[in-house]
Amino acid sequence: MNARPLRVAIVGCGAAAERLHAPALAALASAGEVDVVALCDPDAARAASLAAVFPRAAACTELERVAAIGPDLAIVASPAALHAAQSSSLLDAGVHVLCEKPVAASTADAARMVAAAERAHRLLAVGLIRRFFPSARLVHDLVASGRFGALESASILETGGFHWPFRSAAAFVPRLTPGGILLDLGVHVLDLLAWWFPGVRVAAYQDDAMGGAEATAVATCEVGRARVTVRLSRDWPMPGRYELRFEHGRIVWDGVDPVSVQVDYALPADADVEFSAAGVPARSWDDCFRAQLENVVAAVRGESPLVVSGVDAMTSLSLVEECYRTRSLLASPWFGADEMSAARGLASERVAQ
Amino acid sequence: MKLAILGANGFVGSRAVEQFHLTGAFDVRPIVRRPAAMARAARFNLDCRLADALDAPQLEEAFRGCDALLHLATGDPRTITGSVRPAFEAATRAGLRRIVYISSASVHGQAPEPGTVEETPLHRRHLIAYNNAKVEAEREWQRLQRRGGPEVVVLRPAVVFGPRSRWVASCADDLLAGRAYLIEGGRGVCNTIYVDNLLHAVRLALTVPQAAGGTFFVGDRERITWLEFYRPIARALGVDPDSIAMLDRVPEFRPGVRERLQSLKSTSAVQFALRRTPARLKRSVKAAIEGWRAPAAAPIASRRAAGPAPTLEMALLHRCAWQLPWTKAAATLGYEPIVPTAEGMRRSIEWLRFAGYPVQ
Repeated sequence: MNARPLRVAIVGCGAAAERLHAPALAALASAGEVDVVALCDPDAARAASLAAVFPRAAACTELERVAAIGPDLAIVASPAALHAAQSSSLLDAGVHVLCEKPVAASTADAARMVAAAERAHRLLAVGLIRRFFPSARLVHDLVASGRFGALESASILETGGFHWPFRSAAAFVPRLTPGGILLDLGVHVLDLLAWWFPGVRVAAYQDDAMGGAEATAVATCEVGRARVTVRLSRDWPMPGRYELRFEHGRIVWDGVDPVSVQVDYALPADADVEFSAAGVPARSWDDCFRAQLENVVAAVRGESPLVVSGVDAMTSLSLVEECYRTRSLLASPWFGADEMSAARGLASERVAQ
Repeated sequence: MKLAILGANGFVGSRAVEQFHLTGAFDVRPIVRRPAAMARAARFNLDCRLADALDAPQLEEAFRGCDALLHLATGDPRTITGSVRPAFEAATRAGLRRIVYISSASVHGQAPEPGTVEETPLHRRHLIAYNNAKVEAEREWQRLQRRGGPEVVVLRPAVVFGPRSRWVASCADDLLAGRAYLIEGGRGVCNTIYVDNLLHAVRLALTVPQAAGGTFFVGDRERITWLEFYRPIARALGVDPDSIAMLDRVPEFRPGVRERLQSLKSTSAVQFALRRTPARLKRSVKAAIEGWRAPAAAPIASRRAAGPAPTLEMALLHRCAWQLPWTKAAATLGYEPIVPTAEGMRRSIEWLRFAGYPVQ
């Protein structure tokens, strides 16, 4: 262990900071690895709420105050449209950044963040947490082993966010969050797809935004000649299901279980596949967030490479952008003819923005 | 007309936002309690507000600038009864002219006596706390209206079905899980109303002058049985309708102590007393009620690991022998269903496909 704990600031004290990052920070603080020194949120009550967990941290409402306090690392967990300006400002001030997903509202913004990190010789890590799931790592290693043969087809269904304890309506304010389920949840799914299957591309995309943010999105992607259908919804809850069908096997996962996947494949007796997942001591989401923070702390100390850098995160964000660029209206089949006509008009207005 | 929709994330509320906005019927303002509940309304560029249905000042702020209110907020019995007065007071202060309250035909029970009409006297001796809470809520609306303020129209639908309806989704879930059942051969009357028919009635209730102060049953034109309701959903999912469990016997349901206490708690007299009871005492009483384990009302589910688990609500519904008449709505509002039940079912099944159910 280093002599000095890493000084950490939290920028954006909403539900993600409170529910996901704070337990990891508290665990590493107990181990003497980090010291939370600043809590920043435009809503002073939110910063004060987290101060109950980190009483020695200074609570503030202005980002400039964070820079003045001089943390080593900032966790940026604010609304997506603020990520670029806040992260770049912190990087320019010499602060390493772990930015929540999506890394930014656009790849152009993300590129500016990456450039700021390079200019300042600081790290830009991105909170694509599922890369820390032993289950997702196992899928990665199984696919990379080549034992399953080529991917033939895949279907992914994920729904979520119905009971997420948002502390504000920012996730539904377009100037703060310029997208819906695709930008929020889809960026995780597309990141996994791009990690498991480099070269994945978007073939078609539909969503149900009618002047606002999509609640249901359907992307058709291609991996070689295999078609991958991704269906995302925060309109209706359904059990998540990833079904990846290969030449010689099948993998089924629910998308949120950090530990378990179902694998239908009889390994030959001489199989020499090594699974890195076996070595990851994570059993829960909290464990995964702790593993993510440990990775970032180790990377800041020069002891380990980042698992997910800003550059890594740009791949999934560019797939999201490609979806939005090619979007068409996902028909709601219960609409009457007059509703469908109006919906088409409203959907095209959004594209024109 | 600018219409505030309280409870805009529910099944009827979501459809009301969609349909009224897209058809231009009303300028809608969705109101929900939690940010996560904004997801469906956020598909549109609307002025969606956050407000707790029990908080009059929050509601007044959310209602300001609107002309009318569609009250769809629901929840536990306390929320059902407790959300009437704040909404009425907030609507009065915000200058709203009319409120349409979606009550329920279950104020007459799930299996109303043949001959039941809107004027049939209500009582609060139902075995289901929800029914009693809806009775209490209707009585509260009646009391409040006498003081003046916004006009109130009460609609009493029964089995409202359509996209995102629990009747359709639960039926599909149960069929797929092998848990679906019908009592007495599924011959009981299923008092359906397709959601678009209910919204058609809402439009009329908001705009027809002589609707003010009235209470109306609303329903579909067709008379169907519960078997006829389940059958097309089963077929769409590839489940043989003949495989649905037919139950001749169901457990004797008696109201448990907890249910009786909850019913009592939702009365206006007890609500009045509770407002003057110290919070600590209320917490102790609540913990005692929730900790109560009623030994007599255990359904079959507690004795069987899987398979049908009949509930009191379904046991009563499946024995219904009376199609609730909407003749009063027809005469006063000019209400006529605009979507046949079969078409409503077709659209509901298309929604199941949209939501990711394995529709064949």
